Amino acid sequence: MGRIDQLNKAFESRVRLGIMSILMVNDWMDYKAFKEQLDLTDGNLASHISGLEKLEYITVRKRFIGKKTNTSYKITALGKREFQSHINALEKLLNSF
Amino acid sequence: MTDKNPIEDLREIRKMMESSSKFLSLSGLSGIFAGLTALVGAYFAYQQIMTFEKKIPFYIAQGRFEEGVNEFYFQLLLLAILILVTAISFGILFTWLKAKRQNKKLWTPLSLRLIISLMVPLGFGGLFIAGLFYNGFYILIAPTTLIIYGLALLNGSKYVHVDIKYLALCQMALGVASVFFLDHAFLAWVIGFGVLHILYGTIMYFKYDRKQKFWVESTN
Repeated sequence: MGRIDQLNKAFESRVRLGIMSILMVNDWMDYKAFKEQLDLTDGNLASHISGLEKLEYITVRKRFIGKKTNTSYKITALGKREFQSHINALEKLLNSF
Repeated sequence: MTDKNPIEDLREIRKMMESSSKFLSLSGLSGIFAGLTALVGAYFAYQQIMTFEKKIPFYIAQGRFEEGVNEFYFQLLLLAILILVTAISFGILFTWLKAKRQNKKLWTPLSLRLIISLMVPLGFGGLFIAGLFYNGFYILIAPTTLIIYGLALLNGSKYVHVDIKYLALCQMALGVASVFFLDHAFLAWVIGFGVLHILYGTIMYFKYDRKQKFWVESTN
């Protein structure tokens, strides 16, 4: 297997897999919506999100809606590419069994 | 949290993609009851048509035929609104019950998107039909309701887990067919809103709702 077929270490955890899956099919996604969808605590979710942010797989947008802060996330082109090849690698792995 | 099982990983990806982008609580029962409401409504409409046809000679004798026609169509309009309200109420009720059973929220950004995508064609379409009514093109109303309903379903279908695309296409096809065969427009309306709804609702119910219930029971 070439380098491109290898599983991405960044997506090893289920939480990160969940975050990326949701962002693949939704545009901007609220922090709160993530918490509900993935059923997670703040600490757990925040650490995974900042991990993906550091890798520049997702971008963050902070803004005010009325007087409340609203934080939402979007997948980057790089993130999309990396996640796609991760899925391909998973499929290849399955087919090789 | 680390899991090396690729099958589980792919399943999780699929689940997350689906549950975050598709409205899962739409119940098949909603469709069945919408269809039943339409059939009952159509029965009453048929009664009204029969009564009206019997009264035509009297209207003509009294020299107020046009007045009679307008009154007749106004009654039909009231009946149509009653059918619509009843069907939507049942739809919301069963969807709410299903969401409750699945422990899911009904009011999410996703359901809002679904409602907007349905309401834009339905709203403009409804105004268009009001215009047809206003100008006396009564005969075109049944085909137009089918077309507009089909377009609205098609627009909303991307947010729903079940394939209502085919239901949408059937409704639009019926709408087009009935505008060419206006004599059978009433029949087309009964098939579209009555029979197709019941058929689709039943398929949905047995394919998704029943299975899910079984799944919940067996995992508990």
